[in-house]
Amino acid sequence: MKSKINKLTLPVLFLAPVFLIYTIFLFVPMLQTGYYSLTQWNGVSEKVFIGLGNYKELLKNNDYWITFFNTLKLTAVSLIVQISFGLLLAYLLYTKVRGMKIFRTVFFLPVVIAPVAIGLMFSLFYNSEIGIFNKILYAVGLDMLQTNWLSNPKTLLYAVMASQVWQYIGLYVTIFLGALQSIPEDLIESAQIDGAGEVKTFFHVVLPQLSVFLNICMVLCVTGSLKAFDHSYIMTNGGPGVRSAYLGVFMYKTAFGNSDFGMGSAITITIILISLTITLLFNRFSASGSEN
Amino acid sequence: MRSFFGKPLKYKIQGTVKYVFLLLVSVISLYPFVWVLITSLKDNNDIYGNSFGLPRVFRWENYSEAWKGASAGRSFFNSLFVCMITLVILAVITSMGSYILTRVAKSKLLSTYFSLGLMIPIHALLIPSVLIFKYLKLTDNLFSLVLVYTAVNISFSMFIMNGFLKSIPKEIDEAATIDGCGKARVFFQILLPIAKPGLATVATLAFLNCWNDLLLGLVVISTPAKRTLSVAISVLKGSYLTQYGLLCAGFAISIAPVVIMYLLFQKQVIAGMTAGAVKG
Repeated sequence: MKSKINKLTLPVLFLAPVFLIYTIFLFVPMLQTGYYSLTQWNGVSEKVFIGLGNYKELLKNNDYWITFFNTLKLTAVSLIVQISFGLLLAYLLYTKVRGMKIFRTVFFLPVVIAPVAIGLMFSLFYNSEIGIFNKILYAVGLDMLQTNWLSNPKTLLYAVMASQVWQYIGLYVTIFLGALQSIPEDLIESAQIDGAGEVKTFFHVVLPQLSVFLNICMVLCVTGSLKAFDHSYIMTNGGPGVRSAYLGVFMYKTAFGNSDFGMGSAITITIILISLTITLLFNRFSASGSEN
Repeated sequence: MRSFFGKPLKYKIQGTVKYVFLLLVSVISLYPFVWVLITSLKDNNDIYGNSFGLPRVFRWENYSEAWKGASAGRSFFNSLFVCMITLVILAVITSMGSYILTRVAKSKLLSTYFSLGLMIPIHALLIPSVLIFKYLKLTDNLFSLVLVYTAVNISFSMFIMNGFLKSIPKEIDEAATIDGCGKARVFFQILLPIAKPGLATVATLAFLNCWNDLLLGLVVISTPAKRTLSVAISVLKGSYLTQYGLLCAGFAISIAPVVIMYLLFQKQVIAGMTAGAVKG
């Protein structure tokens, strides 16, 4: 009996700290957010249970749909730009370029820096007085494109997106480069011996080998976009109104600006649900794709 | 004929185009930082009139002013304090937990439980965290940040440690047990030293995550003197509206530790970020 207790002591002692911190500060809060989303609550007064009331109200809320579509646009732009550039650059580095490691180091650098710092940096570039975007445009003779990037409603959202899309391209370059390096070399060599050019080799031999990683990167793009907060928060505070806000910023403003904790939680739950749905769809899609 | 003359030339041109393109992308990746660094040493006249050139007069005072005036120094040490404590706690508790889950009492259920966090965005923790810390009387406390940061980093740390411990052959602990080592000693004196590279990856990635976080810092801390650096940076923009030199200096101070860390531990950083990514 005694030895049995002794046998359990160590595992319990070793697991307890990590289990408790994880449960108290991550798992329980997550469940609480789910519950709060069903209440009307400002954080101070009594919670009033209103079922799906918050969600119904969200569907009618104009600001929710604006930020929803902003997030969707960010997702689409990220998918198109980050995946294609990531893949292209990775492939160029893979084809035995001298200085490959240096290029990789340079491309990855922005990824490790705080998004809030990158946002600050971009707002300086867009600045109407000292910003270099307009000055570069002027220098190359494209001065008709000069504009007030963060106040012109046509460019506002895309200017905010650009900082985030630019920052994370290196992440995809690195993931794809790792994936490319894991492809057996004789596969590519034999294709080239058979007379396939570089482009043909890429699309017919290399790309099919990458399907798993393509899927991972797409999921990363989607979940990353749905979590987006920092760039928009620092560059424009989501404004004017919510014109340049994503769902994450809208959630923050609702919960901590307007003290509407119930509604804020409901927005969070929709973020999680959308991101899970898209992830599952991608996985489904790629699973059926690889069967064919 | 064609293969003799045509091909090498074609490859040469192709190679040059490739190189020029890669160099161009490198400039797009690096130049923004270079520009900010140069600007951080200019005075406003210089910034307005001479956007692309080197500073006419090097204003090193921008750095001391940003450090003191914007209390970037204070926030710098707040961030450093929180990050360091978090990664020590994280490394200790996740490696102990991971040892149990991979060696002593394997549990699929618990492993799945710990991986749930990979799918949860930080947003889901904001409101409950504020309330939990209010309840624990830890509102506006740097130690609260340590607790949430530890919690949000557990999932990927367990994932990396599990993978690492699994790759260490079982014979090593068996041999030690036969020699009379207890389980705790096997872990602390034999496995932990071998697992150092895994711990290094966990620590590097956790440091980056904590240092770069804005949302939790924004929500958990309210007193200006306790702000983390990311939060201080977000405030800096408002308080130094047109003092661009100071703003750039603040930016440079905030990214310096991360850049140095990246250059020193590039392998761990990339391994960690892409491993987390591949699973996240």
